[in-house]
Amino acid sequence: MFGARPTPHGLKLAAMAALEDAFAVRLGTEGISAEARDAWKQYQRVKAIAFAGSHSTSAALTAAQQNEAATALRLAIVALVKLVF
Amino acid sequence: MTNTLMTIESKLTRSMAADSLDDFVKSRTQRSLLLVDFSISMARHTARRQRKIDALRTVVAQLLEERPLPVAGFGRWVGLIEADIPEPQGGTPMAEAIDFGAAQGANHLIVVTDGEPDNADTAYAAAARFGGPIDVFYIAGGGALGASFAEQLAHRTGGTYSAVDLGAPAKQLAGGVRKLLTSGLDTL
Repeated sequence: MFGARPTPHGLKLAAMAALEDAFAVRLGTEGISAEARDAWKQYQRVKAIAFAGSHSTSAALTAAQQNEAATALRLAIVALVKLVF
Repeated sequence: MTNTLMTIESKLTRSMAADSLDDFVKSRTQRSLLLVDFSISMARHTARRQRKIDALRTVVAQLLEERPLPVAGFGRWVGLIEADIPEPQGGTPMAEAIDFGAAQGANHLIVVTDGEPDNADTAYAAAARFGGPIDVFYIAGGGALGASFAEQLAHRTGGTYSAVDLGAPAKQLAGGVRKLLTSGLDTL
């Protein structure tokens, strides 16, 4: 009846994807500045850390690794918000 | 994990793999429309003794199984194709097809055609108005004038030109189209 139950992690990823779309649309309209390129590189680095541990249901990840990934995900989303707004 | 979440994760992972910010922006903002020719000449047979229209239908069906993709046709009329590509009929109203794509909100066209347009000049003018890249797959055996037009259309719009043989396995054309498609923001 209601479909799959949303999870906080899933919703964060959905927000991230939507923010990336918004960023792409903005750049598609305004053009790509040097600042945007630098900020994007930084965002990609943080995002890579977030996704290195994003399959956090895996028992193989330590608690420290999961915390690092969660922190990186938060920082990546914050960085994206700054890029978009 | 739900299909939706898998899709989102896949999208986010792909954006990490983008070669450049330019590629990322293009991948997220590209709105592609596949324009297929169903003019009367598509009733002719390929080297495999299959009608060109039937070979094309196989290719389009294969692509649609993989991902949603808006498809429009041009022949006796121009319009969106909701089910099968129509039976071959009419001429090649390329200008009207390009204008139709623009009206639908596409910013990228992939054209599959086997012949000369009804009017090359109006087609070039429509392409200039469109403003986005037009990638063209020219179906081999259609004649030198048609091939020349197709190549010019792609060149003038910053698109790519490929000659394909519908007598070859469907994967040749399907693979070519697949390479041109990106995740995009949404479908038309």
